[in-house]
Amino acid sequence: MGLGFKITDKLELPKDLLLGAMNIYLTGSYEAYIENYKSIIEYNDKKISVRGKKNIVIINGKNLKIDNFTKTDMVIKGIISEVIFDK
Amino acid sequence: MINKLIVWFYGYIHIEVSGCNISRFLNICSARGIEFYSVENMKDKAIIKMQARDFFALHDVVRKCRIKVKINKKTGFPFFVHKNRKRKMMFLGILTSFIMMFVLSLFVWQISVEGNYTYSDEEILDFLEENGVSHGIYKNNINGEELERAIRNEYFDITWVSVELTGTRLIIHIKENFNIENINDNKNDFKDILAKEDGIIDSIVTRSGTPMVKAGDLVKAGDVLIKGNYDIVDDSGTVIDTKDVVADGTIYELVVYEYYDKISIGYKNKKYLDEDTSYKFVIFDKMIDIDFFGNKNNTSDYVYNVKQLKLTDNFYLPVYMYTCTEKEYEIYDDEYDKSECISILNENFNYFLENLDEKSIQIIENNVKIENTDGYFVAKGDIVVLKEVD
Repeated sequence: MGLGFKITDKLELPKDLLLGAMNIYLTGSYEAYIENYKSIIEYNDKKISVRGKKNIVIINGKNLKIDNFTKTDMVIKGIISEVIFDK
Repeated sequence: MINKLIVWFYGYIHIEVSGCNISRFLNICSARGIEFYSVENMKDKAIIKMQARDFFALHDVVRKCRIKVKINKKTGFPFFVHKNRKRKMMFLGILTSFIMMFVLSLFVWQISVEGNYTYSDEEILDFLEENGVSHGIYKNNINGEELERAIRNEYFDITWVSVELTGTRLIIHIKENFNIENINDNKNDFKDILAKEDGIIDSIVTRSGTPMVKAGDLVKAGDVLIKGNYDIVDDSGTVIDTKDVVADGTIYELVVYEYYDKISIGYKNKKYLDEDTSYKFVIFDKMIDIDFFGNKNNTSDYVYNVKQLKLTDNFYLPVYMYTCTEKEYEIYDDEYDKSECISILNENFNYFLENLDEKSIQIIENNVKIENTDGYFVAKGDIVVLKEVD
């Protein structure tokens, strides 16, 4: 945990804005809502890699599909089997 | 639901993107603020659902990423209009129906009265009609305050009126005063308590006034039972003064009623043969014409049902649906058996007792007997009841 995290945690500031972290909300294993992403690295129906400001998120699964794709957020639907964080 | 409707209204397209740089294409689009409703990947191509007006902004991106784009499907309102652009009458029809709905919503098509007990709906509707408020009136011509004042002035025991106009419906909310009669009674100058019927006094308790009768006395209708004054006497028993009061007391009187009822054993009965229902729609008319459904048959019962059509709870239309059920019957001679006769006579007798007086009465003696004479069942006899004089 870095100093930045400790400060924002103590001051109760929004971490996604100050640390540039991605917000990921999972609804069971059917749906993932991703906020604050930068770009898509890889996209097919078995794997979606999304780059954030600091790390990469890899979502593995089956029949993956992007819904509601906008500049700041996207919804991934399908059967999600794992979510991996990579530097 | 609303979101889907908005998407449909602006129109959307399904495009097929093929090439090796699909993820780059997606990144550039998101950077340029082009939104996609959904992206579906199928091996080397992607099916993208997007807003139709964003399609022309893709031109640059497509060239940059060296991919191929093909429109698969166009859906939504702009495409619907374009497809049907030659069907002018259809659009005219849609427009006319909207105009008609708007025009109809400017008038009142249903008036209802709520909270009335002593005044019937018809009475108040008639009064409203006299004041120029009837079905089909232009909504802006209704002056709520004036109408409320008119109703209050006409009916003195209506204490509160509120006129509510919702949709094409005019609702008159009314509150009535129930105690007004009692107040008037107390103000009455009449001070004596009089006997209303012939009978024998069973008991008398005087609260104010002078009792003129005692228990066991025979009285006739109109006799004074309690006089509305009392004498002030001095020690020697001489009357010095007479003071008027409102007579008050509880008096029970024994009254004898004669009862006679007769029914014939033979009677005409109806046998229904078949039913026929006919419907009719009437626009801008609220009166039922009896000859409405053509010739009337003398040996038929007719049941009329009128229903006003409405779009929503408060949007009534000036369209009335009349349903007429014709039940044809045949008259034949029938006879009551003994138990039927007795039950009818008993029913009539109970009805008679119920309507004898508003207040509860006590039956002391019941000598009514049922006899069978010459094809008739007769119930006759005397009933002695104990009732309160008021």
